[in-house]
Amino acid sequence: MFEEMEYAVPAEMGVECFRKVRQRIIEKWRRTVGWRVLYRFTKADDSWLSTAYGRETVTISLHQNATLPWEDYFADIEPIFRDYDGRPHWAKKHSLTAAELRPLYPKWDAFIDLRRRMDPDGVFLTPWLRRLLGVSA
Amino acid sequence: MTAGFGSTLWAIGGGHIPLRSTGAEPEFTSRDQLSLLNTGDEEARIAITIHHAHREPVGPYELKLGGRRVRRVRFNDLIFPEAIPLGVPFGAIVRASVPIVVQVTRLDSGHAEASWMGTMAHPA
Repeated sequence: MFEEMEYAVPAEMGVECFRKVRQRIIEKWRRTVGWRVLYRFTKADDSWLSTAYGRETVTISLHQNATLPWEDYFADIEPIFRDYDGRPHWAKKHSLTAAELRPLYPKWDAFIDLRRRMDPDGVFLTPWLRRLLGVSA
Repeated sequence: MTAGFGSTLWAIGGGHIPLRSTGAEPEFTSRDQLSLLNTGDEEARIAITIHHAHREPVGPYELKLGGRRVRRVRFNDLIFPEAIPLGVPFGAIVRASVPIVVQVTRLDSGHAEASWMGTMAHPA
């Protein structure tokens, strides 16, 4: 069992972002985090809420065993990803909600509008999704 | 089928992965490393338990080693069920399904002049 944080950053800034993450880990986390950091390339796509929407992308992933402390480690590295317009993986750890996510996705408003029209009664919303997407119904 | 020699139970008391590294990675990454030798024909199923200074042991870390084969395993790379912290003491118990030989090697590249240290694990 492990916990994971993954951010997608523009490919042209991937190496610089990775180097900053690496340096921070060496300085502060190397003693307690034994996991490697994964670095992967993804082609751009046109799915509105894809982390690779409209840009060639590099994903950078942090891991820690679920039985070991991970919250402070992820929270410490996340601002570096944010500095590079990082988009968090939707199914992994991150701290962002609608206010921070909206500027990262050019089609955010279009998605919110389409979602509302397809689900006017909010049948497919959960409390977590309402907070994530910033929608009330 | 030829039986190998060695022991099915080994103990390592002086584990310590150096915190600092210099030089190219991964070649010069500081590490504690197991060197496993299986001289028999039968595959060895190996289970490692890690002992810590201030909490209960963690394990098993499970490996396989083919018959008539050697394998190098860095303690740094053992991440399931838990990665081993760096710069602190640990011990290890190595249990194998058939007799094997276990050596331990440490590379400390924390300074430009890298140092190596090797020893036999204790056959229990």
